[in-house]
This record gives sequence, structure tokens and C-alpha cells, in this order.
Amino acid sequence: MALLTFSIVIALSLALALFAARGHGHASAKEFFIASGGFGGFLLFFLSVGESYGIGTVIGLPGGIYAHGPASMVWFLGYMLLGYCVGYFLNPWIWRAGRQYDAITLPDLIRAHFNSRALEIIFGIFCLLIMLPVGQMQFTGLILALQSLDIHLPQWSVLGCAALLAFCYVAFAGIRAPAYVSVMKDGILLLSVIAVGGVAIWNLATGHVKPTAFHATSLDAHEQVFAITTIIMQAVAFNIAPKSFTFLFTARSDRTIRRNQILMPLHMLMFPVLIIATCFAKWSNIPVNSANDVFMALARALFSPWLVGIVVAGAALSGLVLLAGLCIAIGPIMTRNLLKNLNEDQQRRGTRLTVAVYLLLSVAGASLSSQLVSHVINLYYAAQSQLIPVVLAFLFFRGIKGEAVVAGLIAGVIVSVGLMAWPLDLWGMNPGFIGVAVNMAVMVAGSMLMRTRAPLPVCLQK
Amino acid sequence: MLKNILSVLCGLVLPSVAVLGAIPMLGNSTRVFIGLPIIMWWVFAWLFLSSLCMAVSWYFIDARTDEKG
Repeated sequence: MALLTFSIVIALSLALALFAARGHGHASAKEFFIASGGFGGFLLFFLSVGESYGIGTVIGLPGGIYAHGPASMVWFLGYMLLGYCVGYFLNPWIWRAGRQYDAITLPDLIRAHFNSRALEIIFGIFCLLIMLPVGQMQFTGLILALQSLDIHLPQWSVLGCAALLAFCYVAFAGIRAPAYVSVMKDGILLLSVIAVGGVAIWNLATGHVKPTAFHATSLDAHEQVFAITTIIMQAVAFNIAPKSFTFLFTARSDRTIRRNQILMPLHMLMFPVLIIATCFAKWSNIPVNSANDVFMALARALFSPWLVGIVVAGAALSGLVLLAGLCIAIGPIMTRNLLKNLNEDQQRRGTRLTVAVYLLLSVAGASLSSQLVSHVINLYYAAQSQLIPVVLAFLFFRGIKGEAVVAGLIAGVIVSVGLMAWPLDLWGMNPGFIGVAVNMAVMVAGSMLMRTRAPLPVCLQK
Repeated sequence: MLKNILSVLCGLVLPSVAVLGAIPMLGNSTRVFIGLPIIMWWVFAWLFLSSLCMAVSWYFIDARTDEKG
């Protein structure tokens, strides 16, 4: 029964992707990748928040709280919350830069601003590399979520089907598919969290289950420093992931972006319910296979199989929508930034080929040991934050030169990866945070030493 | 310029100080409410309050400034 309802929801999502494509069958590359910048507040909101909450939200966050206690995850809520506040001020500038430079991707912006094909290639390759682990994470989460369906099929065939689904979304409707399917996915996810959380809160209110603190309820000095540095770094990095640029450029205006940012923290209100539900699983000793299985274990313990199928479908869709969005962001980086001079038809065909290769690599990555995956994830966060200096430079900093930006990037990556490989006592500071500081210092110092002319930042251009 | 500063103070600095400042202030506390540490409830409260701060920035400052162009 669970498999039946799961299949119905997935089939409906495919139908929705096809519906999203109506009237856009022979779309231009801009229509395919950024919907010609025509999304209003509604679709932009669901595309943005839908892409923020991947499968990690229903698998990773409850798993972290179950294993290490609620206090250990303060950094997660903190960076997302402040990330929306940073985005309220930063994202309209990114959108204006995109319009000014006629950009679809971050490397488009960098090439146009610094007038450098070399920078476009360097940042294009860097963006591709840092997006690989995100796809891998979604497939790893999908394996965990689908275990609740009791499907007795080899793992590779289940992952292959998931990859095919993500490919179909992209092939059917480009950026419109993740936007439309996000609305459906968010609805299911929200109802699932409210239903599971509602049962937990009811049991707490009626005294059937007594809340008790578990694990440490406070943070020691090292944990506090880690939380603060991670929140500061991630709140900015959250807004400048390579895929975020493509999504922002779908917006009709910068005013639409700002109004959406105001509402986004309210979408996070499902987190308190999710966290209480996770604690409820601990307090009432609901059996779980592993910490990451806790949300699915709650659904299995509280609901009949047909409802479990819908909850699993919601979790799976959150992974699939994020995968589709990543594919849309990767396509133009390959076909516009790395391979030049392709016509629109070649760009679309090249994108489909790139997407297929990306999905296959992600499936292969997800099959690696979980220990290796966790290392890759940490590296991803540290590496992605190294884009902060270049984005701030072309938007706001006067006198920054292209060569110095590359020197900063190299220094930042070496420092953050080095600090992760040889752990030193840094009073708990996030290695990526130190990497960003070094990156920024090298970029500014390098620009001061060079005698070439620097472009005006976007905020000072008319 | 003054309006931009006020907007940043209200929409970004205030929520940042509230959330980041709470980590050393409340992070040491071992007190819990419904099984959750106090700092968690403080962050939950700021889900509403940060939205409110941005709304104040938008409706009282930025929407008018943007219109004037």
C-alpha cells in the first residue's frame, strides 16, 4: 500500500512537470534555464525555499538532533535564519548585476565584470566541482528514505530510477519543473511534519509522554565559537551557492526578491515542530534503525502504510527537486561558460548530456562509504564559502582585480582544506571561516599591489 | 544614505546580534523548557522576529526608497 501511494505521488509530480512545460515546447535557452526572468513572487518563493530544504532537512537535521541533542544543531537554524536576512540585502544586488551583464550563471557575471575568459573558466570549473557532492548527498538521503518502502531491489536500480526521474523533470520543462514540483513537494512535506509533530505535541500535552532533557543541553566554549563562525560564514554562503544565481535570475524584479525574503523565515516554522517530533521519538523510545532514520521511523510508528507512502514521497521529492535544480544550474555552466560558441539548440542538447553525466557521477558517489561522503560534505561547505570574497568584490568593493581574486580563491581553498586535513586547535573556529578571511586578505592585498585598472563594483555603476 | 543604514540596522544587524549574541549568553545555560534548551526557544522566537525586522525595513524604508528610484 505504501508503495502504491508513493508511486501515485511521484506520477503526479511528473504530470506537474509536463504541465509546467505547456506553451514552452520550443523554448529559448534563457526560457529553459531562467524562465526568461518572468517568475513572480509565488513561483520564486517555492523555487528558492524548495531548493533550500533538500532531503537533508527531513533526514539530516532530525538525525543530528537525535544523535547529539538539540543544542548541537543551533548553528543549522541560525545560519538559515540569518541567511534570509543577508539575502534580503544581497540578493537584489545579485539580480541587478545579472540584468546588467545579461547573465545566467555566476561565471557569466565574473567574465563580464572582470572582462576575463580565464576567470570564467576557472570559476566555471570550481562551481562544477563544488556542486558534485550536493547531488551525491541527495542520493544518499534517497537511499535512507526509500528504505521505509521495503523495496527489495538492488540499490543501483533504485538510484538509477531516481536519476531518471530527475533527468525527466529537467528535460520536460527546464527551470519550470523544479519550481512547479516544489509547490507540491513543500505542501506534502509541510503536512507530513505537521501530522507527525501534531501527534507528538498531543502526546506531550495530554501527559502520555514526559519530556526529559537528553544529551548535553548547553554548549561549551569550543562549540560556541564553532556555532558563531559557522553561522556567519554559512549565512552569506547560503545565498551565493552557484545554483542560487540561476534561481535569482528567474525573478521578475528585485522588489519581488525582497518581498519573498521577508516571508522565508516563516517557512522555517516547520523546524520547531520537526525538532519536537524528533525529541518525542527519543522520549517515547520509538525504535529507529539509525539516527538518520528517525523521521521515517516516526511516520512508520504513527501512520498507516498508505500515509507512510506519501511521507516517503514528500522526502524523496525534496531530494529530486534539489537534484533537478542543480542540473539546471550545471547545464549552462558547461554549455555557456566552459564550451563556447554553441547555438541555442546545441546548448539545450549539451545540457541534457551534462545532466546525465552529473547524475551518473552523483549515483556513483552515493555508493561510496558513508565515512567518505561525510568528509566530502565538510569539504563542500568549506569550498563553497570561498566564493564569498569574489561575489562581494564585484558587487561592492572598489579596486579589486581579477588576478587577485584567483590568488585569493587558491589561498582560501588551500587554508580551509589544509586545516580540515590537519586539525589544529583553533578555539573551535570553522576552518572554512579562516579560509574566507585569508581569501579576502589575499584578494585585497593583491589588488593593492597590482597597477592594472580595476572595474567599478556593480553598486557604483549607473 | 541614512535610510539605507537604518534599514540594514533593522533588517540585518538586529537579528544577527540577537542570534549570535545569544550563543555566549544562553549557550551555557542548562535550563530546559519542554525538554529543549532555552537557546533553542530563543532561536525559534527569532523565526518570527527576523521576518518582522525585514518587514519593518521594507514597508517603512526600502519600498518607499525603491519607488523614488
